[in-house]
Amino acid sequence: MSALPNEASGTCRTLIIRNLVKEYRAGQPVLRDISLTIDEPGTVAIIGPSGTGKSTLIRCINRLVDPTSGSIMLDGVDLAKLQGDALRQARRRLGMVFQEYNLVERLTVIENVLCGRLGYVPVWRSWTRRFPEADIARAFALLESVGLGDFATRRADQLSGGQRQRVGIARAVMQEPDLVLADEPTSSLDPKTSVEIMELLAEVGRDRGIPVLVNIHNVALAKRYARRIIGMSKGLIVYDGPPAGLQDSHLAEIYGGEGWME
Amino acid sequence: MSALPATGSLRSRAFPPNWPLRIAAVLFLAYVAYAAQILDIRWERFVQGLDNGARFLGRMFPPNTAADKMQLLLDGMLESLQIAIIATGAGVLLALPLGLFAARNLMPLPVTVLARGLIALCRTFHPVIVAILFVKAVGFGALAGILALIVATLGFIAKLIAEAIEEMSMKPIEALRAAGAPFLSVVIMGVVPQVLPRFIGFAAYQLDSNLRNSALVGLVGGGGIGATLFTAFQRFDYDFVLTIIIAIIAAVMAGEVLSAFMRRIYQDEAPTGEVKRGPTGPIWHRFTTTERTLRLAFWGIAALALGWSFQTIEIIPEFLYDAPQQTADLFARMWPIDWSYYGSTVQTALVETLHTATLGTILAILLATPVALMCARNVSTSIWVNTLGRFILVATRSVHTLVWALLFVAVFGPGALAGVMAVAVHSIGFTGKFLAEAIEEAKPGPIEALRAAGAPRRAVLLKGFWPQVKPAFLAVSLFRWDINVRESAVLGLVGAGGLGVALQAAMDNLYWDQVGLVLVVIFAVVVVTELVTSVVRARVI
Repeated sequence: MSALPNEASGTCRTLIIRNLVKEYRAGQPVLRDISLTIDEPGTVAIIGPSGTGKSTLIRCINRLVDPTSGSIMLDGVDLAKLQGDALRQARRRLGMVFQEYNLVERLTVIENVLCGRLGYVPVWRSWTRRFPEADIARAFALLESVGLGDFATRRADQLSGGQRQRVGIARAVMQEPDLVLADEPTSSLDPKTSVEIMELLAEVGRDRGIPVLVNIHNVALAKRYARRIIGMSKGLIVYDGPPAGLQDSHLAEIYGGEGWME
Repeated sequence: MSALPATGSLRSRAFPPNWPLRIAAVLFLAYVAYAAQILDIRWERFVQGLDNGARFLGRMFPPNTAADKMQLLLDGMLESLQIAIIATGAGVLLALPLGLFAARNLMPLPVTVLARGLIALCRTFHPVIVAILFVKAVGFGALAGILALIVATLGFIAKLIAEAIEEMSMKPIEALRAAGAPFLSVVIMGVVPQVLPRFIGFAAYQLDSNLRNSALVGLVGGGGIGATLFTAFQRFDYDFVLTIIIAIIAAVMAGEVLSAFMRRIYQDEAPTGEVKRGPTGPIWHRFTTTERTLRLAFWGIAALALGWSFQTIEIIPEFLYDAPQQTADLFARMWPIDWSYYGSTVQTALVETLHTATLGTILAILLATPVALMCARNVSTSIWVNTLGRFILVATRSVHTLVWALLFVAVFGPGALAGVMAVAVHSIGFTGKFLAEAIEEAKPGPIEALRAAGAPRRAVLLKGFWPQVKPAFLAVSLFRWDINVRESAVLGLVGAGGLGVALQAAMDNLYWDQVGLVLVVIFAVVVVTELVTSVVRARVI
């Protein structure tokens, strides 16, 4: 696998989340008062048990979920307050990678990658598939770099899980994002493929000089690839620091009990 | 714990008598007898009818192929084809946005409520009634037929599109939204690829459905082969009637072959496109050469067909100028509605319509079950039996209920007996097709087990197939009953009893306030049957 095209966007943007609260039902907060700052490129892993609000946190950032209160500042713009066109413009710079890949099954791989440009191109271009030359060239280069150079005209539903996730990552990078959000990107994959996908996400962060925020269940993988680990439990951040500092006592606090750690 | 009793009364029987079922069967038979008595269906009439029928058939054979008749036939068929093509093209085009507006997973609530209301309105009235209203508004001829079929197409396709959109996966949609795609781009890249295969299926089905229906709107002045057919009936040219019916069946079968072809091009395989090596890097083509050729051919043919239809169809523009005025006038004359007509005539007609639909459906199931068994390849292994079964299904379905009603009125005389027979015979195609599919989908395991144990054929059907097919059987019966209520409401237009008789009488007398009442009653009946079937479906199936 060759390195991703080097298109580092210069200085890293700053994401500052302050007092973020999300209640799906009134009085039952899933996120209670989350505050964190991300201002360095590289992988940041969010770990924690199921149902603790990891996905909700990530989805609040690009507003697939609307936060109940708090602010999400990206370079001085509060994402939590955006609506309509302004929100669309902001979302273009936030790449997202999904647990179940969320590809359009009946479209080809290259069309799925080009979907990453939909926020930039006018509607008639998506209708006729006449994307700008430069976009198509980049899509091919990205496919090459994720190891799917020969799969451009394959339909997405003919790919394996790992291949689909590579397409998902290529689509996110196609957006030229300032920040990549990955929601359990490896949970539907086997251990070997999971490592490859984490490797690829880390590469994206490194080569483009942007932060990659990853929700992940696998603590070992998180420690191996993340520069920083955020441990969540019951809607609160209980650990925030380098992987080296993550002790068994922290894990016990995050996941509860100790029996599962052998 | 005591030992299990090995013998004696405590041991339950393998197949105990099912008393609720037996009571239901008795009630069912009592209903059939009661309804038959209401509709004045007696054995003598039936026998006498068969006698008539033999004479009638005698006058039909051989089909008339005289040159002047063939010219009439050709003109009528071509006009029907044009009506069907234009109505399908325009209807499908309008149905796309309407279906999208009705999808609750993409649109805000008020928009979906409006769109769903419009769709429901389009679906409530039988195309024949819509055609009658359009004939009054824009005059006799093809235009009225086209407009009526556009309404029917809109109601059917828009509803199915909305359902297809609501059933699609929201995951890719979420991804495209997260990438900041504008709404229309989300629709184009996320929604269209997911619903296109089903949409093509509906559109192809609608083309041959409109071909069938265009024979129908002609009966009430909407142009096409239906007008030719109706004239032939009125002149007792029964040999020409047979020619026309054979032509309709042939056209509908050709339409089914064509729509199967259309589905193959578009539905099974999405285009993959190809990548060619260019001087500066890879060049992406959305379609391969074959894909592009097929698509161009498809759109070329569609454009030619539409162009030809628009060019040659006879539309008298003068009729269009005062259409809005005529329509306003029509509704003005319906108001105030003459409620007194209800007690005197409409109530009896309404009861007759409901019994006709119910008895017709029961008879249809009785007739369709053996045909379905003939068609199901896992029951009848002979290809000849399969083919014969399929031919019966297509032939009964190709001829519309109203056309069947015309035939049966000639055989049994005016009245509900002809209506029941028409409903039953036309429903064979629909009911039989779905039953045959349900039978073919039955799991082979239990059936093999019964056969391996040496069970006779009757036992295999009763204990192997029936339990598996039962839910589908009930669903299809209920669905068909719902359709048949609508059909029965218009059968009276050709003399086969029910609300249509009251409608025809009111129109003949130009009592538009009475017409208004019949329309209101039909509307109410359709709404109530929809409610009843949805409740029953939720409870039973």
